[in-house]
Amino acid sequence: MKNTLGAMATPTRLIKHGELVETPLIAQALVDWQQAVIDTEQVGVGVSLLGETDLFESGLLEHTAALELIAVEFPSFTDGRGFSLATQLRQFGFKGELRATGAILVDQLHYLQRCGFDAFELGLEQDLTVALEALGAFSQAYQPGW
Amino acid sequence: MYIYNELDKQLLNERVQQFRGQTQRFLNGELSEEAFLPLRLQNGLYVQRHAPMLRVAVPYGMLNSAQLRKLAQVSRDYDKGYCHITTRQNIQFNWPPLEAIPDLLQELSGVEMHSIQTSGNCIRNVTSDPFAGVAPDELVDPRPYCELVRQWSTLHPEFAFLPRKFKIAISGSQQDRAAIQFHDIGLQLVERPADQNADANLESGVKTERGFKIFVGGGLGRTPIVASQLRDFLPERDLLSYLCAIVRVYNQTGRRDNKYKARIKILVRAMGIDAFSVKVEAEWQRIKDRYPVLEVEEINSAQAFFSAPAYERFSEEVGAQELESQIADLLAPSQRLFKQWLARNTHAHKVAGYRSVTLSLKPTGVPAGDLTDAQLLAVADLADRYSFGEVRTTQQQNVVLSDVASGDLLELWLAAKQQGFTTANIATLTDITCCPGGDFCALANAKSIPVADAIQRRFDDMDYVYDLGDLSLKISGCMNACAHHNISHIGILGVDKKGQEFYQVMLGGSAGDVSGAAVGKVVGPAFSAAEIPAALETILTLYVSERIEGERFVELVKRIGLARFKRVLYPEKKSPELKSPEIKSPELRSPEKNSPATASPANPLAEGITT
Repeated sequence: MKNTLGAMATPTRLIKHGELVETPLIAQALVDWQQAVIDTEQVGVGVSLLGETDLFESGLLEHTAALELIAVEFPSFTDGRGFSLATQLRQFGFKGELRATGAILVDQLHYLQRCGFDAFELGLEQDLTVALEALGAFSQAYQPGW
Repeated sequence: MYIYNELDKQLLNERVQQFRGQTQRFLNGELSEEAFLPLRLQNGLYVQRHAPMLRVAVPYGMLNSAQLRKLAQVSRDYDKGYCHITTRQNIQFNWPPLEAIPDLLQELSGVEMHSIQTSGNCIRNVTSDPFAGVAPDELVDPRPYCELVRQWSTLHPEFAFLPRKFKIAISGSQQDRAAIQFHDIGLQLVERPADQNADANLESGVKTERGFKIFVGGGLGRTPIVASQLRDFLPERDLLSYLCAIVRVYNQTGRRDNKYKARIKILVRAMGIDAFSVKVEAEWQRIKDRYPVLEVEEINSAQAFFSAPAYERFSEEVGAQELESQIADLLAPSQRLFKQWLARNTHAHKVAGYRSVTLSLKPTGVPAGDLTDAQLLAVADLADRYSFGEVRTTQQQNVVLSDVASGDLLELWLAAKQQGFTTANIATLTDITCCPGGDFCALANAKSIPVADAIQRRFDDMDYVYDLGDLSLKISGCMNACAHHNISHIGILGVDKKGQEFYQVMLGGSAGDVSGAAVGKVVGPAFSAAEIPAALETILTLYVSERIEGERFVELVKRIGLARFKRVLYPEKKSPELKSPEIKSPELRSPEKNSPATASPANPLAEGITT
């Protein structure tokens, strides 16, 4: 499941706050952040961006207060940059929905959640029962939360 | 030694359950090989030439006797009755069947052991000085800090999918025995006069302030680099937030397009240490006030786990006298052997009347670092009887009993001798560090174990070996450098030339001991395996004839340079195509009995055992 920003290749389902959401805001409706910076008028409900985005250099930080949703896309499940970006977004006060999209594994959901993601877009081939279970893989942690 | 609390136990149990589920889903075909790969690697599970290989973490090299006994049982029940000590102080099992690994991990969890983050692109097991807490040249015991870093890095949600693996080492002594300048992050404990203007210091009357000198971007492998100094001093309280800043900058800016250029050393070199430092400091400034600091109480409670054992009070003189009278009772040949062992395999201790003892796992004819189940049990007994029930593993693949009363040394020697642990060769030519090589590892270009064996057999005259003095010889079967050959006084690297195994020789490397950190240089064209012992002899003969009083091998190399060695090694133009005669592996524990289906060199899933 390799997505390009704003154009979903396959149907997906959304888990948010530990539950399946029937009618999520679909990613197509999200504004590509790269375009949003060109035309800041477009920064509306939500933006989608790549995990590699630099929160500070991109100027995204100053807009986060106005956003309800930020979708962070993972180009591959071994690319962990989105984990750091999410942590930074939460550390710097983003309160809206933080959605992980793209190539994520159900076995990564727990760590994603601990980095501040509260919504996860999964492909149809991914097992929802396993996904919901994986969210609660650990009941404790050594590190401080964000 | 650190003892698990409820939190540690709970997390470990949950990890075992998590991995059991993942393994089951993989075996049921519900989890693809591609998706299972990073998950199993983060549990130390490789697919190897003959079977899966499981790497078990030994946090900063500390093991107690209960853990040793469990390892013995596990090696018997799940493996072929032996295990292997790695150059990063961990333990490897070479033959456990995949479907049994969840049970194996469950057993290990009973003695507070696991394989978490012993592989994969995450923060690995923290390594340290095997003489931590007992070395006379120690400023601060690094182990409490190792433990704090272990906890911080374990199951860290943000840093499990880094561009590449990430290794941290901590040293607290004057002489670096942890090769910290060859790690992604090297931490050197230091003290400096406290800032007397600070109110807190004024009130408490604190005279010195403790912290870390921080090195970054060191590493071995195909691009060996000595680390750069990132910070002269970081107060200890800020350690975790600063580590977070470094690893985050690496996670976000390290290369991901080429795995050979993905380590932090490449990033630091590409950016330059100054630009890298600016980026880390900027991130640290952003997070440090919102990140929990290490409070004095937290550091104190970590230190409490590593307080000194109940040493008896001996005077140095009485201990020495007692030892002398014990030696006098021995027959002459035994006297000589015992004295050699005392000189090479025991080490100064900061407490009067005590010595640290290295059990040599390098007798001739046994692959370096291998221990059988019976030997594991014997080490446990020796530890209980003579060293407060604890041992340490070393980067040189030996085992250290850190706290032995001088009066017990003879008894210990006699008991250890029966297990083959008393080869008096520590830090000599025949104390060879050696990776598993082509006999086991899917990445290897050449075998390494038989080369080590041939060298040990060639140099069996211990008087000659002792005369050569302190010498490190390390052999890696490929450029991933698991044996750390490129920071060895003499390094040997297996290379593949048109399907034949050849060996490059490097001279002058140093892990950071008294001669400073240095990468060895290739002396000239590679040799065949059969030529290696003679080439070594040529090198050592030049050393013996050229050395000045007290000059160590590595110092001589620095003084006279490689050209002199080149001249004696390659006196005339060699024929370009030397045929590499086959050399036989020593008795390996019958790899052919394993299912060949699990992995072969051609298997794309097979990966090397890069420690």
